[in-house]
Amino acid sequence: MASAITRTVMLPVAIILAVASIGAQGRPAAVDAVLQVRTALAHGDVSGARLVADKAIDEAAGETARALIDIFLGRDAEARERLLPLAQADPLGEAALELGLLEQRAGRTEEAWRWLDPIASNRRLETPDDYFRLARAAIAIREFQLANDAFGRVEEIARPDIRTADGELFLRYHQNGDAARRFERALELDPEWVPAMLGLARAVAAEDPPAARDLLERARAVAPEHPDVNLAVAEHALEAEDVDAAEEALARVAKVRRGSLEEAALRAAIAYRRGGMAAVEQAVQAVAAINPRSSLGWRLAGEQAARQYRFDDAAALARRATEVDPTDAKAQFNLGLYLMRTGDEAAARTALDISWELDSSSPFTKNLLDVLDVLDTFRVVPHGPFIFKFAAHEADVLQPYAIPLATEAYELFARRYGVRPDQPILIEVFPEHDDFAVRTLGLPGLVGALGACFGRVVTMDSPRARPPGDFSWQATLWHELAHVFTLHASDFRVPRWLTEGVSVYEEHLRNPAWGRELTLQYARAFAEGRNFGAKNLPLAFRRPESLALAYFEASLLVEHLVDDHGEEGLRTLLQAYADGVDDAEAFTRAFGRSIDDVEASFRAFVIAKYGPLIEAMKEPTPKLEAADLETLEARAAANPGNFSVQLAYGQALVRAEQPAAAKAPLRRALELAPMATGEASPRALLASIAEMEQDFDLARREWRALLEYDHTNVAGARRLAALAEQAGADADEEFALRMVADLDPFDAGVHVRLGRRLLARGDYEAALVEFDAALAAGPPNRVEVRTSRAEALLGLGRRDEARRDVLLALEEAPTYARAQDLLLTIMGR
Amino acid sequence: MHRLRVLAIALLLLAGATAMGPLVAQPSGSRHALLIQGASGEPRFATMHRGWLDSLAALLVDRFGYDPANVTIVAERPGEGEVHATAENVRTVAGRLAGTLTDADQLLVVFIGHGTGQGDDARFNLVGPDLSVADWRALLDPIRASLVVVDTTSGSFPYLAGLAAPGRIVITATNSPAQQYHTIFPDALVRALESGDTDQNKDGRISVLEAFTAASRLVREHYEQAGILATETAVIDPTGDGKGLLATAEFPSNSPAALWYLDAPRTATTDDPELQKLLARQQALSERIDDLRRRRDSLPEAEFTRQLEALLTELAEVSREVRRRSGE
Repeated sequence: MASAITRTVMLPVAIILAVASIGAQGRPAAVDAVLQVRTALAHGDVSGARLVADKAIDEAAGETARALIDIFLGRDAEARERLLPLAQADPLGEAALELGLLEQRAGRTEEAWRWLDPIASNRRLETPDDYFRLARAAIAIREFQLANDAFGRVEEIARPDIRTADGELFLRYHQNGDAARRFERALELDPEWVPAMLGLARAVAAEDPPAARDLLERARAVAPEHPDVNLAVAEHALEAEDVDAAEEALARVAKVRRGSLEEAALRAAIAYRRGGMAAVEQAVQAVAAINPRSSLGWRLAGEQAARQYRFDDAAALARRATEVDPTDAKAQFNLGLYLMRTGDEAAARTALDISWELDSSSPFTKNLLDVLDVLDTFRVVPHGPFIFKFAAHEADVLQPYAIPLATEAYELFARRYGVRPDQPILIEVFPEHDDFAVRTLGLPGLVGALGACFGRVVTMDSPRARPPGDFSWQATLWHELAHVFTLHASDFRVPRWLTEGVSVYEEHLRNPAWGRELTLQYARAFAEGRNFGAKNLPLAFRRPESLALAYFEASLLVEHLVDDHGEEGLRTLLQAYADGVDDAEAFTRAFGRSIDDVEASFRAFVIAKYGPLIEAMKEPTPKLEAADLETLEARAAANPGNFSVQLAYGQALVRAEQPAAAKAPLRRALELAPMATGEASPRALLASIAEMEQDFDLARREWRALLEYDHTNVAGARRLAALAEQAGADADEEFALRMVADLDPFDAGVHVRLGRRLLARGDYEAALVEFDAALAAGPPNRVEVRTSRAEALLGLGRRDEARRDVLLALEEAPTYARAQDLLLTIMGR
Repeated sequence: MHRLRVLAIALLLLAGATAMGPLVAQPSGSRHALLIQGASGEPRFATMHRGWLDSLAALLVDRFGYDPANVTIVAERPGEGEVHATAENVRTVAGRLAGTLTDADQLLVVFIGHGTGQGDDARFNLVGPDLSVADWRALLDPIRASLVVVDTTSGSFPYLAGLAAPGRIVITATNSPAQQYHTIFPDALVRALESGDTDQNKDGRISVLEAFTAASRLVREHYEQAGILATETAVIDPTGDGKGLLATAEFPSNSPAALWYLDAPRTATTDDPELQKLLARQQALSERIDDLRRRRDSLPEAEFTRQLEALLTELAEVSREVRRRSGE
């Protein structure tokens, strides 16, 4: 204890000396005591703070210091009593500032202004503390530029309290990098300055969540009972949906600092989690009792609702926040964001405009307003239960493909999950990935995401947002639409593992290749015990590094549950969540067994499904490393059942230009893992070898077999189409063309070829879709496509439209014999 | 009988072209080509460039009916009857063409290989010393034939303005001096000339504009399908003003590039008087259609459509009769 006190006392002395040296100004003893107490409190050391306060030589300083301790402990009335006479005696001093800030926290704006405005207006500034007081007062009365100037005047002052406050100003301005540098400087000056740790954690949270977690842990280690630390712990717990831990942290806050605004506001957020909107109404009364002008309770409750994907509630709560405090830029932003997620983009723009007026430093607000501008240029296509928004230049190409697929999904999912959304589903398809990212999260980036669902709003990359072959936009659309139904069926209470698991499972049902891209990685993870199991899946979804495998395993779990309990079991499970029960109760209701039981049967299911593959995917011993052919050959002979060893040997032989010899190990690898995909997969290499050896029939068969699994391999599909065309292999060619058209619908030539095939066999309706897509994408020969389209229309009995199209063709090519004949046929001549 | 079908169609188009008052009429003389493959630098480029050169030469002879004697090949490694790609040899070839070709002839010049450029100057890489844009201009200007120059190389853009001249059409694979990467435009040009889709107006002939448009499209698709940023964008100067137009530009139907055909000019003749009457009727209808299209903006849309439909229908009937009488 003694050493702790020594540390808290000694450090400020060193800082004061530094100030005196840098500022060439003396420091009054009164300020010394206050700074020492502030330091002790920043370390969470209330006893040390009391000791310093009680030993203060200057009576006023001691009283101010004691007031700081009162404020730290939430004893605002006592603090006010101490500060008032001091402030009256020195209206520009520390006590006046603290009193003004205290009044402001209580919502007594006029009273606060009375104390803060003179300090912010004072220009007789001599010491760093004069500037520091000016800065803090200026922030309180929203004179941020003035505060920034004041901090600028003392930027060389080596004091963690000043540097931390400066950092917080930058945080307010969303300049997290600048803020982080200031917090780091504060921590250089005092490695145990808890407010700097918490500030730095906030500054890095978005970009480096593990670092933010570490900082919070450091703060807990330094000051486990510091109320601000426990408030941060509660916030993190709520973000991780661990409500019990959040409540526990708040209880610790209350033990030290009773009745704080932040605690009450976080309890309002928890109230939403526990009891919905009605519970929030009750909980925010505690906030209002502390500060009737604070919007924080409504705002945090809204954020909690949004975290649960209940965006109607979130918007309603954010609106209440803006009603309580119309100057709360964050609340206005939240309102705009949530309204966007409900699909009400007009109202969202209004809120975002207000937010921008209040805080024109927010990149989030600017980005969302910009993306709304982009959306204004999109073509709106209402169709059945959907409202599509396509980029104007993509609409005609995507529409013929997207609308039937979405309609199919809607009908299927409505039947399967027994629910039909009561409002239109907005589907926005972005040709620029960053626009999708901004529409989804407010910031560009989001590199790994292809689509998102907010309940009745789906946002996604268009096929042009990424290089062809990067992803299947159709699988994405299917996946996101499945979310629409699981969210609605569960009244938006479905846990993430389940909604993602169902969506991936639904992908797989629609197309056996969809949603199974990670089969090998999963088998390897299972072999190494790195899978999660039913019980740990929710946790796996909270860790970005484990997300991809978590999606896959969740889909397997859903498959297992449906195998054992049918779709009815899945519906019952979603309904149980809709009723608000927890996981254990939901499983009991749906399946009549515990999660532990499911865990055991799920493991058996995985082993039954992938047992040999898991065996083949085991890490070879010793570990496989680059080696010469001889070594690899020996390893392959010794490990005939190991996929990696066989593949490595086959690949090495290909690299060594021994394709004939490579075939045996590649074929063996293929037998072990026929679903392996990619250009270095056994099947792709065998196809290339077959082409090299001019065995084009075999090459075609290999490509076809590969593409049954490798569903985004557009280059492979183009290759198969070419080989099939040469060989006259119609089925293979049509399969390949269909795949290319699905993956890269902007390839007009493929639509033309598909359309011709369909036309030739009299499938006019399907042919028309292809010709429409071709015309929209810009075909190699517009006249030919127009004529073909006219033929399809004639086949459908749409004679007038056929005549119109053939005349359009002839207008461009009056001598085109095929079109001339068709015109005469249409006209009955 | 097949010949007659071709003749009839050709006649219509020639008639249409005349009616529209082309700036460059299809020359009536002989068709020539000068295909120049420069220094390749690396074996892989040598194989690639030679492949394009051979394909292009074969297409000109086999598909477009060029007389092999009129196709001059200048190559890095010349075969029999070909010329070695040195500056001196190029000067000699150009001098010969200047001395023999007339206003009635047409000459297609294609550069295949590497180009390097700095600002307004660019060098097409030959074996040994290169020639500057000004050098090339000095070699080409004395040639009196109707000239199309296609520079398919990287750094080709300065040739657009550098070789511009009235009545001359210039195509470059790039539209900026900054585009210095190896181009795939020559491959696209070969594929465009092979493809049936290139004949946009289905008249049975390929114009320079159609070839340029199709090749540009194939270049664009190449980069889009690979998901990479395009490092080349071809442009055409169809009027000799030195300004490049993209393939997506609006070209008038009487653009010189639309009327400069790779195919041989043809003359319709028949000794069947009935057929001759039908052909004349075809020609007249075609002229009326062209005229109507030119007047489109001055007519109400419904009236334009009514008249066009009537003419197209009649033309279709006459054409069907022509084909019937021709035995198709």
